[in-house]
Order: sequence, then C-alpha cells, then structure tokens
Amino acid sequence: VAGLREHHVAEAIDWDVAVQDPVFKQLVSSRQRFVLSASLGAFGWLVLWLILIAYAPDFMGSSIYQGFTLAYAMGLSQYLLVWVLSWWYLRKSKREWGPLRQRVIERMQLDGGDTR
Amino acid sequence: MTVLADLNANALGAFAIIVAVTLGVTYWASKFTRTATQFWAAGRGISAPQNGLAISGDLVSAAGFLGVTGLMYLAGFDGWVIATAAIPPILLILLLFGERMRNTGKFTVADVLSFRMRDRPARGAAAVATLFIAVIYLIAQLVGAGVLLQALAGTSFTLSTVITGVFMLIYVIFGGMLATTWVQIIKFSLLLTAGIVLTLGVFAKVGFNPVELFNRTAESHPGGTDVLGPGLSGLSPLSTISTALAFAIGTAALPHILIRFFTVPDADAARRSVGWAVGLLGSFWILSSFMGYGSWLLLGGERADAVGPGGNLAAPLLAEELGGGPGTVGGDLFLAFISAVAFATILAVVAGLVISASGAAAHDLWTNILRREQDVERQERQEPIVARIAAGGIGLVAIVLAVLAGAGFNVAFLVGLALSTAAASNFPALLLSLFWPRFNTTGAVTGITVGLVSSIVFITMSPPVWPGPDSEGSPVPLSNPTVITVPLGFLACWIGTVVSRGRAGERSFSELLFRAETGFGAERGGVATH
Repeated sequence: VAGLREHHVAEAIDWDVAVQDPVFKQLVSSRQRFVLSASLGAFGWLVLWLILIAYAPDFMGSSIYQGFTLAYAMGLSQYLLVWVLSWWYLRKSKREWGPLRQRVIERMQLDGGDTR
Repeated sequence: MTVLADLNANALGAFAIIVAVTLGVTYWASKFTRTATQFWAAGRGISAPQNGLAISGDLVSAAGFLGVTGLMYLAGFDGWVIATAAIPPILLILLLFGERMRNTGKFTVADVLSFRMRDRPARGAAAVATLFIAVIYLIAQLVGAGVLLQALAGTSFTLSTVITGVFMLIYVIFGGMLATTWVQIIKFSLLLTAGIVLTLGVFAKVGFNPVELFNRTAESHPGGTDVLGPGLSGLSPLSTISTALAFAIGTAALPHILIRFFTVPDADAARRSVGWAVGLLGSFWILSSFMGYGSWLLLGGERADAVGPGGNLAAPLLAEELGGGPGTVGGDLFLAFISAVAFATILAVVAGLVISASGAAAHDLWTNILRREQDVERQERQEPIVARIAAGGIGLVAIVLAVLAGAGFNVAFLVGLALSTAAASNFPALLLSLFWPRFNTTGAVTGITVGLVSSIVFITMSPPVWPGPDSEGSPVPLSNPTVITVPLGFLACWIGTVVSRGRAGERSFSELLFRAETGFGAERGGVATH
C-alpha cells in the first residue's frame, strides 16, 4: 500500500523543478565538492604509494627510524587518511548536510507533496 | 598444502562449536525470514555497528586473513600491500555508494544501476554481472575451503568442500540475510579477537617494542632488511600495481558488500556503518602486519615446509607457537581456535556470496525481467520462495564445480577474475549512473558487457591460464588486467552513451539525484524486529 501511494506522489512531482530548489542545490554542491576532493585525495595517495613501491622499492625500503621503513610509514598513513576523511565526512553529514536535507524535505511538503 | 594431522580432534571440536552457534542463530533468524524484505534485507533492522562488523567480515575472506600473514611470512612487507590497498576503497564506498544505494535501491545492485534506465536491459546486464562475480568468487572460496579444512582438520578435500557448501546453504535458505549477517558478525568478532591475541603474543616476545620486532625479523630473514620494504615477492612493477588496484577498485564494487546497505533502517545508518567498518577493518589489517612479521620471527625458515608454498598455514602455526608450541596443550588449543576462526570466515563469506547471487536471480531476473511483477505485496510473498530455489541451485552448481576443480586448482586467477569483473564491469556503470546525467541505458549495457567480456578475455590470456600455469608465452603479461579493463569499462560506458543518445523510457537524472541526496521516498526500516 505504501508503495502505491509513494508511486502516485512521485508521479506528481516535477523532478527537474525540484532539483532547482536553492537549498537542494546548496546541499548537492557542498556535498559533491567534499566527495570529489576526498575520493581523489585518498585514491591518489594510494596510487602514489603503489607506484613508489613498484618502481622505487629501494627508496621505499629505506629506514626512517631503526627498521621502520618509508614504505611502512606511508602504508600506515593510508589508514590514517581514510580514518580522518571518514570521520570528517560523518561529522559534516550530521552537522551540515543533515539539516539542509531536512529543510529540502520540508520545502517539498509545502509544495503539496506527502513525502511518505 | 601440507596436512597438519590425519584427523585433528581439537580442530574438529572447535568447528563443532562454530557450527552449533551458527545453526542456533539460523534457527532464530528463520522466524524473521518470511517476506522478501526480510530475506534479502534482514527486515532493514540491522544497526550501524552490526552492519559495520558484517561489512568488515565480508571484506576479509579466509584467503585474505591467512594469505596476508602467509605472504608476509614468505616475502615480508610485500604481503601487506594488498591488505592496505583494500582500505581506501571502503572510503570510496562511504563517499560514493553507501547512502545512495540505500536511498535508491531495494535489494540488489541492479536496482540502483537500473533506477533511471530502461529497466529490462540495464537490470539484465547488471544482474548477469552480479551472478558471474558471485559464482566465480564462490567457486574460488569453496575450493579454498576444501584445501584449508583438509590441512587444518584432516578431513578430505571433497568432504570439506561439501560440508562448507551444505552449511552455507542452510544459513541462506533458512535464515536469509539475518542469519548471514549474524554469522558474519560472529566471524569478524572472532577474527579481530584472534588478531589482537596473536599480536599481543608476538609483542610479548619482543618486549612490546615494534622496532625490536622489525629488527629481529630482519636479522633472522635471508633477505635481511629488505624484508621490511617492498620488492621481495619478485612481481613486476606493473603487476604489483595492477593486482593492488584490482583489490582496491574491485572491493568498492563487490555486490555482496554493496547489498549490505539495504539491511539498515536509513541512509544515516548506512553512512555510520561504513564508519565502523573503516575503523574495525583498518585496525585488523594493521594488526596483520605485526602477525606477518611475527610469523617469520617465531617460525623461522625451518618451518617453511609446514607453512606450505602459499604460506597459508603461517597464521595457524604462529598461533600454535604462541600457545606453547607443537604438542603442548596451549599450542593445540590456540591452533584449534585459529582453525575455527578460519572455518567461520569461510562459512560467512560464502553465505554472503550466495545471498547476493540469489537476489540477482530471483529479484532481478525472475521478478522484474521474466515476470514483470508489479504488485509489491505479491513480490514480498513470492520472491523468498524463488530466492531459496535459486540459492539452492547456484550453491549446488558451485559445490559441484569446486569438487570437480579439485584441490590442486589454481584459485588465485578466479579471485582475480571476480575482482577484475567487479572493477571493470560494476564500478564504472554504477558510478556513472549515480553521477553522470547523460549516462543512459545503452551506455550501461555496453559498459557492463565490455567490462565483463574484457575481464574474461584478458584473464584467459594472462600468465596463470595461457597456455598453462606459469608460462612465459602468454599474450598479456599481467596476471591481473585491471589497469587495462577498468579504463575499457569506462570507455565503453561513454561510447555507448554518446553513440545512442536515446533516453526513451528512462526516468530523469533529476529524480535519481533528488532521491539519492535526500532519501526522499526511500523505504525506511522497521524498528528492531530483532
């Protein structure tokens, strides 16, 4: 039953208008900016590590501190970077994008749609 | 692989405990597994931390856990590279796929991929890719299971494979996603415990000083300090990169991982569950580097025969050594514990694969393509029946193929094929359907097809297969062709899209974008049914 009702509501919405909503546009641009730079950053850091391991094994095998190698340090930095970026993303989702999402949905309802 | 004992009573006893617990869980779960939403999405009632544990579990197969320790035993640092390469893709899943999957799909990857496409062609292609990935990966896992159980418990290869397959089917058919998820949660909890215990054991031997661990490993290793840096595995530079990238990109688009996002109540929980997975799995793989170096330090070159040419028994033997050594009570108990963890790992991963394949077969191919069933309530009633039949059929085929392949079969290229297909076929199409407005049905179908076919062709022409194992004459020098197939997949998506330009019968990108970003209209999870 819920599925049918949602179907009717969805039919009645002009999506091309909905995505022009200024609050929605703010949400999308802010989120996509973060997603793009964080994805490219993390993936680029991984690829750089792999290229260095593959083509400069001696350099990467050099010890920074008593057998703690550059390759291993950069490997650990992969985890650290992913942790920091995940934490940052979750934090922004909750504080910044969550309220924006809420506002977009509320504005939709004012326009005459039952969102459920 | 070496067989540790004719029949290891301790390991068998530990297996029996795992089996008893997981069967109990399955019995409990079966009471909540009636509708389609319950069967594939556990009623959308899995919490974020639970799902985080389950995702982490899905990402560590027995081959991963034992393989990384084993490779580090054999080649030092190089063995750790693939484990680490599997971490950034989890961030990609979080940023690109997690909550969008939850907001735009019901049960399968094809739901999301075909959301704004003409349903039958796009869904059909995506479902075939999912089935292919799941079945290939399943055969690899089942062969691996047979070999491993044979070594750990002394049961024959065929018996080990069949037993694994039968339990896998029991979990899935009776307990659906709820049982599969909890088996996965139990498995990862055990795995992490094992990782912590073994790492503490290793550190206790070196006075809790990592530097001491590195230096003493280098002192005792024939490679000297080279063991602490890259290069000992002897792979060509391009093979190193391609293999690691196959793990990285393939991991981000594995269907049995992505469908986990349908099991949580909403997009927020989907997001937080990846946060848990990143923390848990990252910790585990960091611990694995200590286990890896520790296994060489404690076992040394003289145990190389027992560890085996692939290094798979390094972790169990390390446990035995830390427990007090071979023949001692502590050693036997530790060995049995690690064997049980490996057994639980195998069971959990194969069950997840069967669930994802059953979704592609029953929800995508049967309901939406063959029957074109529109009535939601009838879908909810009928799909679990078809799904159970499909799971049984797929499972039996995989078991038979695994037994026929036999213990000597090189499964590494099957794993490579599954990951390469996920990376080249699933990843480009899924990414573009969520982010590129112009992407259309023709682009999706050509992209998925080219990704799938090129993976098969390139793997067939690569060293492990053509014209025989370890040959020099293969046309493609890469044992893992992701560096070629992923760009090919993207290219095919783009060419298909610009050549056809057709948008007839498609929903607008605006609708997808709005729903994906806001969760508008997404089916919310019930309040804890379990």
